[in-house]
Amino acid sequence: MQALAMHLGHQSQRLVQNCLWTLRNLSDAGTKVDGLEGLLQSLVQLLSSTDVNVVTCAAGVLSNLTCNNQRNKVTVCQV
Amino acid sequence: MVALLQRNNVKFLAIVTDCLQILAYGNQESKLIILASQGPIELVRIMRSYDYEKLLWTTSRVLKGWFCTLFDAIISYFGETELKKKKNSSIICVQQ
Repeated sequence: MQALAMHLGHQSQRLVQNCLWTLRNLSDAGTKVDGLEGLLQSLVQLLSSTDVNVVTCAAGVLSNLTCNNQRNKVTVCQV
Repeated sequence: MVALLQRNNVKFLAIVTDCLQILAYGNQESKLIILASQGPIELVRIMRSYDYEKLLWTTSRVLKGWFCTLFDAIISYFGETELKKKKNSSIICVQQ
């Protein structure tokens, strides 16, 4: 997930969108992965995107990563 | 084809990953062969190592399709009933 998170700030929107889709597909298995603070921060920033597809994907990933994960919930609230 | 992913010419790698995406699209057998050849490991390595946009995009396209494949395999192995027992789970998967 970190390899994909690296590119969420890229200027290429098609790259960002693909990375988000892949993260969304992966994220349901990531509720027990540590060290995702950077990814969570990037996803929260993407919620302010003007592209509804980006916002939708970012929200979907956040939804999965915060599911049953207190640490991630705290991180997202603090960002 | 997966062995070619160890080359370091970004334009060549972009073509190879594009080929992999075409081969894997809608073809479960091809996906399993690529998986067995450590394809995903090489693809992730490319995402970590390069900044050529076309290569990153073609590689991310291949990766996008992978995890739906694994999801379908899990579903068929465990069956819908077992997965419905998992509470508070949110699984959103983008299909190719």
